[in-house]
This record gives sequence, C-alpha cells and structure tokens, in this order.
Amino acid sequence: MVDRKKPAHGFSDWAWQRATAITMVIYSLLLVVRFFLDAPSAGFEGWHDWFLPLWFRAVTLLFLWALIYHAWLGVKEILMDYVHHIGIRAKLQSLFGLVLVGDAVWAAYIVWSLAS
Amino acid sequence: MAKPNRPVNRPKNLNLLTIRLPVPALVSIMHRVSGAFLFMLLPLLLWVLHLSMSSAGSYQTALSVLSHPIAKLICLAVTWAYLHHACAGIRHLALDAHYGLRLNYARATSRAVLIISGLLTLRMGIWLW
Repeated sequence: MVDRKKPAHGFSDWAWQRATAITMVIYSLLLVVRFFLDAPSAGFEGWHDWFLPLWFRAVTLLFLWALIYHAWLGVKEILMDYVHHIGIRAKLQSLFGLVLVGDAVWAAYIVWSLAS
Repeated sequence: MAKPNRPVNRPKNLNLLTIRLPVPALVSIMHRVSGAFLFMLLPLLLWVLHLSMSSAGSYQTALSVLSHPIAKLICLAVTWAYLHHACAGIRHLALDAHYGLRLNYARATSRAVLIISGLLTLRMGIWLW
C-alpha cells in the first residue's frame, strides 16, 4: 500500500534508472574502444596494468556502482509486480538490498585493492 | 448499457504456451528476464573479476575456470543478456523521447534489438570458442 504521508520517489527512481543506464552504455563503448586501440598485453601483468591507471579504476568503479544501483531499481520493480504480500515483499527487498550492498562494497574492494 | 455486475462472456486465454506474443512484448519480457538474470549472476562475475586481478596465481585460476565449457556457456548467456538488455534499454530511451512510437516502427525496432544483440552474441561466441 502506498503511504501518502511519505514523499513519493517514483520520478527519482525513473530518472536514476536512466542516468545509470546511460553511464553504463558510455562505459561499455569506452571499454570496447580502449580494448581495440590499446589492448592489454597477454598474461596477468598486462591485464592488471590495464586496470591500474587511476582514471580507469575510477570509471570502472563508477560503472559497477551504476550497474548495482540500476539492479536495485529493477529488483524493486520486479518485486512490486509479482510479490503482492507486503510482508514477504519487504523481506525479499531487504535481502536483495543487502546482497547488492555487499556487491557494491566488494566492487570497491576489487578496484581499490589494485593499487597495492 | 451493460449491467456492471453481469460477467461479460469474452474468450479468455491465459495458457502461456499458446499465447503468441507480439514482437515488442517479447522484447519487453526478455528485457526483464535478462535483467533479473544479470542481477543473479553479478556475484559470480565479481568473483571472476576479483580472481583475474588480484594475483598472478588467482589469474591462472580465473583462466582455468573460464576455459571450462560450462563457464563458456555462462559467459555467452551473460553476453547475450547484457547486449539484449542494453539494446532494449536504448530502444526504451528512444521511446521515452517519443521516437518510434508508431506501431510499425515499434515492431521494426524490436526486431532490430533481437537481431543486433543476437549477432553481437554470435560474434562473442566465435571469439570464445
């Protein structure tokens, strides 16, 4: 049930879904272009060093976080459509939300632990 | 005027196996399914990314994991899901901006989504094997 006393966030969800989508499209194109212009050299060193520049780590983390937030909005929408029992839906939302927060922390750790 | 309480005798068909979806509806439900699929596989993808970047030894582990035929199939499925979701999403953005709303355009762009994401996935498959 919609609680009319709380501020609605339908529009901001809609806008964030699109903003994160556009971020991902731009990163995907960047990834492909860079892969062709400046392919990583073979082996671990080449792959690791390809991700090492600060700007590339920053945009990679931005992409992963955009993806995770986009997934959160999608998960909420799917649950709203198919799970009509409010209590079960709330529990599933919390569960998937926790999974996504875990994904987000993990993504940051992966990208940031590269520096060492 | 029909009485509001009398049931209207319309044919009803909710058998999912016999419903023939119009192409835009097919693209729409596949958009949702591919999104849910990507969400479920995200931890697995992060795991492989982590393995590939953390050390020379784990990089080798990632390579041997990825060389397994089932892993290749999963890669192909992820590629397809990502490409379909992206193409259908771009189409969605165009619809938001009121481009391609006419029925024949909506059908044509839906087919384009299926064909483009299918061909790119095929290209990825050739590269993987």
